[in-house]
Amino acid sequence: MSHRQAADPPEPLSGWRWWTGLAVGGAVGLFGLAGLLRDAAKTMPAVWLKWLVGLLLVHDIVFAPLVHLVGRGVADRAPEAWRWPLQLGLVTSGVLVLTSVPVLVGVGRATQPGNGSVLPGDYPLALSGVLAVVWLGVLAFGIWGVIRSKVRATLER
Amino acid sequence: MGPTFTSPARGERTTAMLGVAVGVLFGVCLLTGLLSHLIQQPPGWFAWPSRPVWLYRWSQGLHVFCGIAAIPALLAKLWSAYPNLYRWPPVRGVAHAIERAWIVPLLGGALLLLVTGLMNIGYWYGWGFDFIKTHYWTAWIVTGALVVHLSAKLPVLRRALARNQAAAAKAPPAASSGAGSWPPPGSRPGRCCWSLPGRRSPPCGAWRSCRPDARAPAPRGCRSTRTPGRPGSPAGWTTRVGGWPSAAGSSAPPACPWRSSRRAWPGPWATAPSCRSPASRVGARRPTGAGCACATCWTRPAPRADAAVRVQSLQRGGYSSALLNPAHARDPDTLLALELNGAPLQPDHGFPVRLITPSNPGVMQTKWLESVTVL
Repeated sequence: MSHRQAADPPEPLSGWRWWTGLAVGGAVGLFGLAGLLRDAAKTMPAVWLKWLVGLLLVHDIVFAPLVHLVGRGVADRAPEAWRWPLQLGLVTSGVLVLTSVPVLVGVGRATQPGNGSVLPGDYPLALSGVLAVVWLGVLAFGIWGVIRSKVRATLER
Repeated sequence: MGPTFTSPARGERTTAMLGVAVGVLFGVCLLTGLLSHLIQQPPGWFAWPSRPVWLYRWSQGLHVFCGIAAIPALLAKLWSAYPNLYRWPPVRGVAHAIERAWIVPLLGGALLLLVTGLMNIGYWYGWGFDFIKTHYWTAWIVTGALVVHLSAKLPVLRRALARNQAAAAKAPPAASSGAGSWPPPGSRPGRCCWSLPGRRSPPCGAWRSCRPDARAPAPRGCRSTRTPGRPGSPAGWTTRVGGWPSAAGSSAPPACPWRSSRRAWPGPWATAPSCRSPASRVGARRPTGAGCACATCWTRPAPRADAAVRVQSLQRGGYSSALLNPAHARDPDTLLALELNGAPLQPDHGFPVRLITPSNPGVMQTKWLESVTVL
């Protein structure tokens, strides 16, 4: 393993708590799986499995490495005063954009043609407004950090 | 050769605390989701009360609130635990293999719940399966996997919490007095926080222009999320009534034809004074949006104390009927609504007659009623 920060040390899996948890959790999980298979006509287990595994792979192979690389890039290249505001701004913006995708795409409007009260908001405008507030905050914190570090450097001199 | 992880923010304690947050949020979602499931498909032992009128709305607002809050919490948790993906060897024995195998349904299922739940908010059903059934059964699978994961990580969790307690004990009194500063429900900030789930718009008036209904060309100013499924004028529809107790010796009519005039409902139905009440009272029963008021309700004679009522819509398919338990059937705010804001209902709102009940899911506020039967 090449990374400098080692993964958390593994815990030995033993004792009554582990085995009880495994038994109870396993029973609950299998109950859910049995229900999913019993309602197969509606739950479509093969499609369900594709989504489950697909989302997991998209996270582990695409999303997480991308976040890791961007985070590394900011940590390595951004000036120190700007580092955490930029990281916070990027994380907040990413989450906001991700959670807004369904209303931004607006596919749901086609489910009730002519009904203006389905997805009635101006979501691009709303998201732009929120993102503007977030990045104004980044700007403010970044400038504040620069000023503070300059004042500190002057005082130390 | 694996990637390099250098962030000081990663670590056992971060992962444990984020895990607690994700566990709490998913727990609330599970409980509120099960509640909605029980209300819509009630077993014999379960009776959902009609009061307080805001309870269902609040519980489901909490479900959505916690579900959306779980998205960044889960992503942060996965980020903090990401180095474990590159641990070598991947498994160290049978028990460890079992524990790691359960992570697949845990994480995949959790992502599936959040992604499909979020898409459901946007009416986007970009998959083949039935959303409700799949969401329900996946929630059980994730709960089971969460219990297994928790039992495996309990020592880590206890260690992290013990470290937190030690840090809190060392902190100066001024800082520690803020611990547990979740606003108490009785305080003004507390009341504001606790009333947020289920609200349709931000409490701040300055955001009024962003309110969805401010832009929507909705019929009579009230939102409608389901339009009638069958074309043509419903003027000739007939709503059948069955099983109702007789009033003053006369039996209830077997059918109530709809005419173009208002309040054409004959028989045991009456327009109660309470239905023409001031807006403050009407506000307690306005599931379809601000400014909605319904004018006609079933009043006398009320169904028997133990009688349930089934309503059936002209529309077929899912949510075409609803069963009112005795508490809802006898509630004075349960309405067979003919009007909205002083005018007959529009087709989008369920013309000629629809059901309005307090503290029930929107899908049980059945529109385009074909029959009303006292059971």
